[in-house]
Amino acid sequence: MLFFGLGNPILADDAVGIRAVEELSRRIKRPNCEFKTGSIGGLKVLDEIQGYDRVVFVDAIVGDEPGKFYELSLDRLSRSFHLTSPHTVNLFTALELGRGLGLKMPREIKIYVMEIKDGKTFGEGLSEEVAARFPDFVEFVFEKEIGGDHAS
Amino acid sequence: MGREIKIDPVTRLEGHAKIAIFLDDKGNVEDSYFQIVELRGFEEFCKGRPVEEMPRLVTRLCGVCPWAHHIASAKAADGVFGVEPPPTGKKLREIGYLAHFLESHLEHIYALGPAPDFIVGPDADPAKRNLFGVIEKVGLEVGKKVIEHRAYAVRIEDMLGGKSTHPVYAIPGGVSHPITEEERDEIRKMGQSLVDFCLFTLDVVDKYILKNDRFLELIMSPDVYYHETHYISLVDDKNKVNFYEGDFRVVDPKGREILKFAPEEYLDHIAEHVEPWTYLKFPYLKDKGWHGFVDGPESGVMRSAPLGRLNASEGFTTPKAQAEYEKFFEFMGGKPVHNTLTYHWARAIECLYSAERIVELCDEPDITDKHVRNVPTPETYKGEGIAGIEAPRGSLIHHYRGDENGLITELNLIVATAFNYAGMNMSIKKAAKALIKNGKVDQGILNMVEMAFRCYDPCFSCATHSLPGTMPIKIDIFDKDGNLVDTIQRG
Repeated sequence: MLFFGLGNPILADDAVGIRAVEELSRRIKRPNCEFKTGSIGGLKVLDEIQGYDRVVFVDAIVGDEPGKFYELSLDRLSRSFHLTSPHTVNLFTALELGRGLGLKMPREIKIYVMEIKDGKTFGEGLSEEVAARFPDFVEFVFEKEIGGDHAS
Repeated sequence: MGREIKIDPVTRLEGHAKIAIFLDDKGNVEDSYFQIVELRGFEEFCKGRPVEEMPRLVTRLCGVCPWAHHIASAKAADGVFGVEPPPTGKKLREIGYLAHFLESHLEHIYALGPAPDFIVGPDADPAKRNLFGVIEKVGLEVGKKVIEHRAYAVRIEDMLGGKSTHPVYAIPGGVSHPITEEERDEIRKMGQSLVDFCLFTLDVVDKYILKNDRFLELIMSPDVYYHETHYISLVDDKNKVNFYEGDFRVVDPKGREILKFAPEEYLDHIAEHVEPWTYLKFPYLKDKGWHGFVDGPESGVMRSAPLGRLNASEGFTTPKAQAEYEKFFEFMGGKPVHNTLTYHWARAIECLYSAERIVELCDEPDITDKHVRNVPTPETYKGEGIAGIEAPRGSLIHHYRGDENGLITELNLIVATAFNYAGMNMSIKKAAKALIKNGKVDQGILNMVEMAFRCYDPCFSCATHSLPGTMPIKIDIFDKDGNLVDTIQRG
């Protein structure tokens, strides 16, 4: 399976998905888990997820409560920072396209997001609100993906 | 009662932006604004950082055109350190960059611009006006071809840059690694296949667009998608388009050369106009001055990117692209061509050039030479570097100053999309005026207004140092007093 952290590492809270996956990569030492980070959208999604059985995206999201985190379903994807593509080939469409073209698409996709305060200022630190909940966010994703049904 | 139509955010556009169209009492367009949101602090973020870090850092400005910034930054850093890459280093930079042009342009043609607009149709359901809709029309086999060849371009970027989205390849004085004979053969093979695919793409343009009477009328009409502006491009010593190096050449609306200058002289010839309603500046020709959003010989507005490059140059160095260049101007009835929708056609010709040039560079006897970098020394250090290149979306300038420790003290970027920003605003207004009459607004008409700027393939990720991302389209209609009277939602 693949953990993919989305965002910009030098754009304040926008880096939260990347930081979370970096943290997960330090905690999870399993041969069947891979970790990637970057800011992708559109057809680049196809490049990155082909061939994996399961893909877990971790991303930043615009919201009213910085630091709040949850799992995002595909039909609510339009609010995600990076998975709504500027190409209107969003993740959902990219999956359908990939399957239609006979590419090996993941069987399952999960998306975890954290609401952020500032994704518009260049800088390498997280806001206070996001930083305070960050360890819980990582724990949440870890428990959901590794601690529970997918422990094997 | 006057009302305001907001198209917010814009579909199929890289980055965040919105259009506001103001109607008069009769429901006709009074004015329009194409606004850009702001990201803050990139210049400040860079100050005090090592100059050699910049080529890696600037790729984080934008996930859409990272290679353009990567290459411009490396060239500006070459200048700061006073070092020139060896011939093979320069050629390898160019191969990676050409592959990026192919990835960017092909994605625009098939997923963002002409294919959805013309092959699926400007009046079609927006949910169908995307790559999916295109594949439904042209067939699954063509869809596979598109994905396969885009993947070739990405593979070349990966082979050289380590990763296509955020390359770590060009460094001051050259590149980080040479290529082997096997890698050269693989790149050449993909490049050759891309040449054939780009010829096929030009056939698609011909079959679905130029042979469709309705679209042809739209393309040729001087009423909607048409502006007589100046044009700018980087050219070589024979005035042929060169994306990587050369001088900037500017032609007037009659196609006559009025300026030719080295990128280092850009401040003598290019100034930037500021408007209070947007965060992106408008570059214009200093000699002409800023006279507002108007075209004509006295205006300082210039247009850049594919159509700008074809108009401001005398063609391409590769034979097949040159033949297509000649066909383009013959079909359009001479040079320059002011018809904005032909940006798409010009973009397809540039794809062909990029693929041909990759093959050409692979055939250079020294392309696998191991000497790919000249290491800077303290003696060569100059402290200032200016780079001008052609990015997929237009001319791009990076200007750095470093202190005695090689740390950035000042930087100025004029990004590609900015060069066409005035043109975009003019195109939107003209299209809106022609297509919105007496308050009649529907999805098809709004898409045709969007088509006006999608020709330019704008990307505001770096223009305001923002990130890509978009949402379903939402159009709010306000009355004169700012009350919301209607909302049209897409997606």
